[in-house]
Amino acid sequence: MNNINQRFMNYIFGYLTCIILTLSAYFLATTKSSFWYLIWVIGLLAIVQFIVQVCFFLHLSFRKDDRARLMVFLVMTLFVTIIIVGSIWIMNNLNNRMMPSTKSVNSYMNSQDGL
Amino acid sequence: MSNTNEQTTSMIVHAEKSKTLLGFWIYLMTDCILFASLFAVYAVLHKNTFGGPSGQQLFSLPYALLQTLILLTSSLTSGLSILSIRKNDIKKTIYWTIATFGLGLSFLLLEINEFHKLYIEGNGWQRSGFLSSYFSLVGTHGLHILVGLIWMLILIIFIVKKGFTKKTVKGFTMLNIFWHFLDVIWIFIFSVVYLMGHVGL
Repeated sequence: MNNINQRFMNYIFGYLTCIILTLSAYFLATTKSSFWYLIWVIGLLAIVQFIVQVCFFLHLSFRKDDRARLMVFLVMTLFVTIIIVGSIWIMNNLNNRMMPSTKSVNSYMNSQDGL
Repeated sequence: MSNTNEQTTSMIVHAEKSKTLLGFWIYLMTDCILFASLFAVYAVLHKNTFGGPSGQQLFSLPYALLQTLILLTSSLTSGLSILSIRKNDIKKTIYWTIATFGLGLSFLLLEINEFHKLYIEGNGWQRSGFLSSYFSLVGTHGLHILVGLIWMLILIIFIVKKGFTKKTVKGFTMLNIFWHFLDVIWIFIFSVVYLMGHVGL
């Protein structure tokens, strides 16, 4: 019975923390702070909420009988980071190299106008 | 039909330690990689609006916040249904699962309503690269929610008919993890697509 109460309190704690984190991210986004500051803080709040949900809702822990789940989880985090960071990195790089801005395209077209 | 407390507790412990649950966990982690690819596509394409509206002009923040709170609450009620199984309380398990179903359904309807509105206004998936990636990302999440809802209905029917058996308890344990997982994915959709979109990323 004690165990159940403990789990119940875990759920309530996780739920309240997530609500606070969601609302603070929401109200931050509606303020007019500087762009990169907002992006970083919203990203950070999302990651904190991610960790809270994984610990309190998915019950992932460092206990010994959770070791297999934890390993799969960590490998997944690695893959996800590689896929997302790698794609953004490569595609932005390609974009910079291969997509000229509209302005430079127009000036190029104008310079070729007589041909 | 009705089990003692010990029987039900041993069922849920058995379910949580079973290889099926580990396998299901591995499936969820690979599902994460599917969502990661879609997030990567969104991150790459979100500026390609092809002269159309950007996320900042299209999305309404209070609407997305409402969806977030509904899904978060449904995650809590789903967890409470598992706690009711631990207490060997069939009635409460069914009530909490129905609550989860109702919240999940209202989330899905809100999402469909938003999609419909975007489509009617001429901002469908064919409008721009940004909207294509938006619809694939959020739509895939919505599709998972739909599958979860159907699963919930089936489990409710099973538990009404058969009570707590090894099979139904295992099903509920997996559904619970699946539902929490969808909420975890939604945190990132809410933060990246709606909040950062509003800021103007």
